Formats: sequence, structure tokens, C-alpha cells
Amino acid sequence: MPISPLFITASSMINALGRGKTATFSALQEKQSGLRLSKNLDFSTWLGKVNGVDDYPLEDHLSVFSCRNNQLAKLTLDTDGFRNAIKQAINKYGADRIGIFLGSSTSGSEETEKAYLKRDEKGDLPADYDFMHTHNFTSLLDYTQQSLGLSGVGHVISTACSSSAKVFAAAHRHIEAGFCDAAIVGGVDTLTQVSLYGFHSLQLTSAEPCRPCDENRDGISIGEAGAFALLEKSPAPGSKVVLKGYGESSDAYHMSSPHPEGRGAADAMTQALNSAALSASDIGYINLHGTATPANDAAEDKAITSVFDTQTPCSSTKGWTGHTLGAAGITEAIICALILENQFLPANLNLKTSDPSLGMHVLSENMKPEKTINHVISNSFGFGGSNCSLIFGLTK
Amino acid sequence: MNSLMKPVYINTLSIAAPNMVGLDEAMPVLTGQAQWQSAEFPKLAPQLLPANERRRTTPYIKLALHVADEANIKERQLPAVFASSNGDFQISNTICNSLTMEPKFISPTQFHNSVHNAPSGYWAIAAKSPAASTSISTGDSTYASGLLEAVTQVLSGQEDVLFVAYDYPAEAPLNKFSDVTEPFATACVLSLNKTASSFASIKLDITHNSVGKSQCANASLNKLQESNPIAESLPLLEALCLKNNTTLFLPHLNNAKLKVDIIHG
Repeated sequence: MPISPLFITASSMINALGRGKTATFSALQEKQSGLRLSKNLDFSTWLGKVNGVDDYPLEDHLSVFSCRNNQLAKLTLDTDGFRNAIKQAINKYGADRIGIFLGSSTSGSEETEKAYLKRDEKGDLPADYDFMHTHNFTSLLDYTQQSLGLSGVGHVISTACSSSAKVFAAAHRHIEAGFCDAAIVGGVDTLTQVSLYGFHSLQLTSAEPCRPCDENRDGISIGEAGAFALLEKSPAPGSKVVLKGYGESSDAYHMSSPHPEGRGAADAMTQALNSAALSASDIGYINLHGTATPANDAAEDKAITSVFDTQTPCSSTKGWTGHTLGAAGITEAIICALILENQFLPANLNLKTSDPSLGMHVLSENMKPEKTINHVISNSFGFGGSNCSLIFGLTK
Repeated sequence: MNSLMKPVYINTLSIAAPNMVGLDEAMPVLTGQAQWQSAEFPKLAPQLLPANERRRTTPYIKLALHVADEANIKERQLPAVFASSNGDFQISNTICNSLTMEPKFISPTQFHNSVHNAPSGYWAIAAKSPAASTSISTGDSTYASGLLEAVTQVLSGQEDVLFVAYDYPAEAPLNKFSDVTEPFATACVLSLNKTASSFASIKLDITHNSVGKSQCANASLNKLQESNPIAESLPLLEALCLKNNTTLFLPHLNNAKLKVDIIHG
């Protein structure tokens, strides 16, 4: 069923490419990856780490929420003029009428990892450890709401790597049902030992910078990121991009492997097209989930070629930012907005040898589209078989 | 503020808590005819999971699947909302322990069980459901936020939605940092359509007035209500079973309340 569009009237982002949308876009244009070789792990891998988070304290009155994840949230709120946009939105709608839907796979769970390293002889955790204000997912929501002075509805979605794509769908539903008039969507995920050693134990991390869609791809590079966007029913001056459609599905196949035919992924993309009232030929670019594991990219290719024309340009931006897990959905959503605003298609970074078994058209170089691109789709697929596809459009 | 909302029917209901495993066992307490007492919680073994998959799961995952299966309408593959404040303490404990040892190693099964949407992933596999599924948390207001998300899905998609909420206590050393002391889970199917087995219809709104949260009608349940964030559903479960037309206030974010109007018939 077609949905009514929502305008992206403000947004902010931080990732390994730098602070803010301009830094991110410049790095895309200049093909500068944010991935660096990790020095502190028992195995070799490249990471998309954000600098300057550890020494960026929270507000004094919110210090109970202190952890790297919330510090990255604050850094992101303080970027791209986002706080100011929210102040204006509060004046317009009221603090209790702005919903907030945030995605994370980690929240501040790093605090629990650190606390376990400080257990005493009885096995007790240090007394200053605080599960509810750091590790619990609501920590990210409570901190962000209080930092922005908001009191509306909302929740944290944690569905692994689709978390901060699904926030757009939840925000849309809450606005449509009348429980809020506008909504903030966001995603904040930070590097943790659990995700690093967990993906490593599944043999899903690469020792090289990740190479999505490459014949020799052999795994992911993990990254961290924060990003927020404000969604409104009516445009703000200068807002050019709308959320046009969303689709969500489950693979119902395996906990950590995608359905080999990309069944759930194709279903999510088809639903997104239906909700946007668009056909596959209206889509000018596909931002791939493109994690660079052999199985993920092959399954996504099968899904895409079953839905779209094989000439539709595709790329994964994970070679730039790394796989930012719970923040990947919104990071790539804002990259899609930058693509529409600037009419610029990013290459699939680190692609050296195209995989001849893939049928989709993967961009090996940055390019300016020949004709205006009006609609793009962004894919996010997570563990547990959780899929989400989002369609963004240029306003007329 | 949201008086135009269409009524949403609660068409099935399940519960799992100490001394209340299943709606039949819970009914005397939920209708005020018996007192609730704490008891050892049984080991659940949800039969819809194949034995080899069941072995990989934890009591937390089994709790979620147990109430989901009991509330689900057989052979239906519904969109689902999974809501839990804390996630799986047992998995957090095992993984964080293993990271203190050298060499650091996390088992692949433990890692995929560590995602907040592990119960929903197992559910989709067991129920063979390709429908959308979300997994949320909002701390102590998790039940209210989950109910709200499920209702917005019903209203926007016109489809029935399965809503599953659950939290399970931590073992040492995490138990000192959590106020979950009893296992508690409940699930229901929400629908725009009334059926012969509908319990009641609900309408939701948010209130920022300084109204207190609703207490249980059966005072012996007060302790259980405070033992688990999902047990904040108890006043609603009681009203559904007592067939009371009433208005309840469930804890929501920032001391706001989710106002639930319950209409029978």
C-alpha cells in the first residue's frame, strides 16, 4: 500500500570518514577510505574507527549515561547543525510531539566488557558499573531524549545490522497513527570486543580492507558511526529528499547466514517499491548492504537481479566506512540523500576484480549520472534474517 | 490527542510467569480468585523449535518462543514485534566472561544468540514466517512501547500483528545491577477485526499528566508487577480476563503514561 512521503529536514553523521556530511561526502568524492589496520587485537583486521570520541564528555547533568556509545551520540548531535534544527522543531511541534526511534546493536555494552575485566576476587563487578544507564538499549534513547529536551514517544530497535534502517519505518508508522507529528531517527554503534571477536569467530572478518562484490572478497571490516535525521510531513526550506517507501521482511532461514537465493532481501525491496508506488525501473541507484562476505554479496546479487534490471547502478559504501552494524542503515540512508542532492554516484571502493558470478552492475568508479536520478534504494540486512529496504526520492 | 484511533482487538493472549505458565493456570489469579505466590519457574521447552535448534537456545529465548507459540494463531505467519528491556543476561555473562580469558574466544552460537533479535530470528525460522519482525527496548517502559509499536503496525498495515514481550532475570554477577527478579513474558495477537475469541478492543493515547501507573487489581500481584518490566502488563492482563471496561495507565518514557482504554463487547 502506498505511503505518504516524509521529508528529511535535517541530518547529521559521523563515521570513519570524518565529522559531518561535508567530510563524508568529500571522502567519497576523493575515494579516501576511513579504514585503518587495527593494532590492538589478536588477529589482523581493518577498522572504521571514529576519532575523538573518548575525550568528548557528556553534559555534566547527564554524566550517569557516560560511555563511548553515548559520547558518539553527543558528538553526532553536535554536528551538522542538528541540535539547532531540533530546537526549531520543538518550537514548532512541542517537545512531547516529536518521536524518537534509534537503532543500535551495541548500545554501551562495552561498559560491561570493561567491568568484567575488573571483577574482584569474589567475582563481583565494580560498584560503579551501571548496566541500565550504559548497556541497556534504552540508555541511548534516554540520553538522546534528555540531551535534546524531548519527551515524546519512541523506542530503540536492535535487529543487528538492519536496526537503524528499520527506525524509518517505525517513525513513519507512529506519525501516520498520530502518536507524534515529527520524528527523529538515528543510529549509534561503537566498536566492541563482542562484535570484533564474534564476527572473527564466525570467520567473517577480512585481514584486508573489505572488498564488497570483489571476486576475492573474504569478509567484513567493522566500523562505528553515529547518524541522526529529522523526518517531517512538510518540507523545511531547502529540504530536497524524502523517504518514499520502506519494506521489511524475515529470511526465516538461518541465524547468521542469509537465505542463499536472497528471498527475504527481494521481498523487502519489492515491498519498498510497492509502498513508494514505484516500479523497479524508477530506481536510479542501489546502495548495497554489500558487507563483502562471500555469502552476503552473492545472496544480495540474486535478490537484486530478481527485482531490478541488471543495468541499475549499484555500490556498497562499506569499503569507505566499514560495516557500522547498528548504525549502517541510517549512515547509508544519509549517503543516499547526499547522492540525490549532489547527483553523484559513489564507486564500490576496493573493487579490483569483478566477481563474474554476480549479475548486478557494480560501479567500479565514481560517476555523475547521465540523466537525473530521482529515486534510490538502500538495503540493510541483519543477523536473525532481519531485512529492511528504504527508498529515498528527490522532491520535485 | 489521538481519539480518532480505530479500536484494535486483542484476539489471543498468553502468559508465562512463576505459578502462571499458560493462561489456564494464570486465570484464577488474574481474575482475583486466587492469590499469587512466587515459585520456581519451570524449564520451558517450546516444541515448535527443532530439538537441535532448541539446544542452542537459552532460557530467555525459550521464554519468548513459549509465549509467542501459545498466542500465535496456528499456521499464521504474522508480522511480529518482540520487546525486551534487558536482552539475554545469560549470553552477556558468558560472552563477557570468555573475553576476560586468553586467548579471547566467543563461540559462534553464543555470538549469534547475543543479538537482541535472536528470539525473533529463532521464531521466524521455527514458524517459517517471512513476515517483518522488529525487536525493541525502552527499559522500564518496554511493554508500553512494544504495545504502541504493534498497534501502529496493525493500523498501518491492516494486518494482524503478533506482540511478544519478555525479560528474564540475570545470574551473578549481573543480578546485582538489574531489578529483574522473576521471569515474565506475555504475548497477544492484535487485529483490526473482532473474532469470536477476541478478549476486548483497546485504544491508545499518551498522557503527560502526572497520573500514577495502574496497579494490579489483585494485590498479591503487586510484587510480581515490580519484579520485571514486562510485568507492567499485569493490570492490562487482569482487565482483559475480568472483562472490565476500564482505562489503564502503563509506564512510558519520561514519566509519561500510555493510556489504554479497554472496551469489551
